Amino acid sequence: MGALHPLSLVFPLMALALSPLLMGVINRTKAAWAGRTGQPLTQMYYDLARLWRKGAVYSRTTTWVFRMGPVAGLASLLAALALTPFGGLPAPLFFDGDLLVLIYLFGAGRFFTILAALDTGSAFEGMGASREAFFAVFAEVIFILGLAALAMQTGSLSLSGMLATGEKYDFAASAMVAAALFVALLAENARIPVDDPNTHLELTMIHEVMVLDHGGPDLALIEYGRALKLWLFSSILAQALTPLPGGPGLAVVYMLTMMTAIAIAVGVVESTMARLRLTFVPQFLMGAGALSALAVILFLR
Amino acid sequence: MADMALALVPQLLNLIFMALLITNLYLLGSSRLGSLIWTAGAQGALLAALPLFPQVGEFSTHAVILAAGSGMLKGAVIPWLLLWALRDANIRRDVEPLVGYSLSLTFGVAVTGLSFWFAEKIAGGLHAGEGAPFVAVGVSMALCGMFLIASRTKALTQVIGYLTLENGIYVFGVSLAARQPFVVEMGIFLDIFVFIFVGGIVMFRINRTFDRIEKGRAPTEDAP
Repeated sequence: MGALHPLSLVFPLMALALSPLLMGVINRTKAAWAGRTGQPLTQMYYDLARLWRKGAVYSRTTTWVFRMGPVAGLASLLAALALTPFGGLPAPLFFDGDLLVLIYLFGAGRFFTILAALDTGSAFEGMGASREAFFAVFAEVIFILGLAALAMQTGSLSLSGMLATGEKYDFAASAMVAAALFVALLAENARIPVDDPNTHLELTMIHEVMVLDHGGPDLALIEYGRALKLWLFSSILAQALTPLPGGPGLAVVYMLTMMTAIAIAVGVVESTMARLRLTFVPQFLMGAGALSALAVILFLR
Repeated sequence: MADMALALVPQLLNLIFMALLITNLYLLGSSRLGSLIWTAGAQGALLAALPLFPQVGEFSTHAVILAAGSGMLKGAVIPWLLLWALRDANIRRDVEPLVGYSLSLTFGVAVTGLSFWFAEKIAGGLHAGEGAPFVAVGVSMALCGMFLIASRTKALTQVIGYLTLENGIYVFGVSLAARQPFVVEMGIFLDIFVFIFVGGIVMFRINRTFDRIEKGRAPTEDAP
């Protein structure tokens, strides 16, 4: 490990503070697209505060696994935050191969959410858990191949080396990786066309149905975890898209602009596309996986 | 300024190759005939730009004629003909592929990987270094085209597969065009000419009569 830049520690705190705003940007985009004013950008802070003040109700069929789910899920995302570089500086923690750790941390978070859903003993939650696990198989392939292509492009095996210092740059391949990572972002964050965050019909939900039985502070943790996950994915995508301009100040401004643009893009996708039929989702994700695989092939030669 | 523009040329060529491979995968993974035809047309239009690149040969009237001719045929005339056939045949999706779409995509990626490996092996003998991506993209497109012909049941999709196969041969041939211009050009235009007659007219009739050609089963067995 090299010397730690003091700003590398400030960036994760910034992510913790600002990540709910990104959700606000998506919601505002969707509202604007539909001709409404929409909720304030800071709405999610109020929601989280409201949920946090409430008490939690636990069903008698649940055990400690259910109560552990939200905490463990958020904890794995916080660990992932420590590995993700930001603004042209290395992350607080980096080592060779930490990209695999990042992927497994996302997997661990999902695993605990799935366990908590199964622990309720509800048929609907079991269905959601099964779908989440199924689609994650494809989403992870996209993500890991995309990161592998980036690793080959830069010759570095750590996320900080890959993303913070993009020296060798091939426009075409980067565009492919970025497109694949964008699909991975949509799939991992339960967004249209893979999942619909607004639906409240058990038969069609995936991620939402798994957290139906959580309430109060537990739901606040889960919602906050979603915002954080979106922040992580969009910051990785923003850094994979183009090389960052020099200097931490300029790089941060640039990244925040890119991340806002990504959130707006997610909002536009949600406003213009319908959710895919469940049987077409794997096909859609396979297509994105093929893109990442192609990028890997191009760097292999 | 001119230097910068010159530095962008290899990037642009890379971008075209990438777009060709993506259209290739899209052809393997999609079932909508309308968008298949549009994609095949886009592929043809992209191909047409290839003869103009300095990696292919000197910029000449020959190259311009080759580009304009193939662009017109592959990018405009053939898609228009296919769309016309599609309207007439009254089908919208290839619903019963012999090999599923996800599996086809996997095949496409595998074949692309293999053809890049193959191109490394043989390109040295063809063209010093420059030709390798042409060979790789060409072989991968040709193989994907053959796969489309073999694995789909609708006549239109098979014709699109044939078109992709042709496009692959074109990419392969264009890297040799500097040395054997006349042969390559004749090959391209004659093939397309034949394709238009066979593909357009025959399919137009057959689709009207049987609605689809199915290999391995005689059309009479379809009758109730």
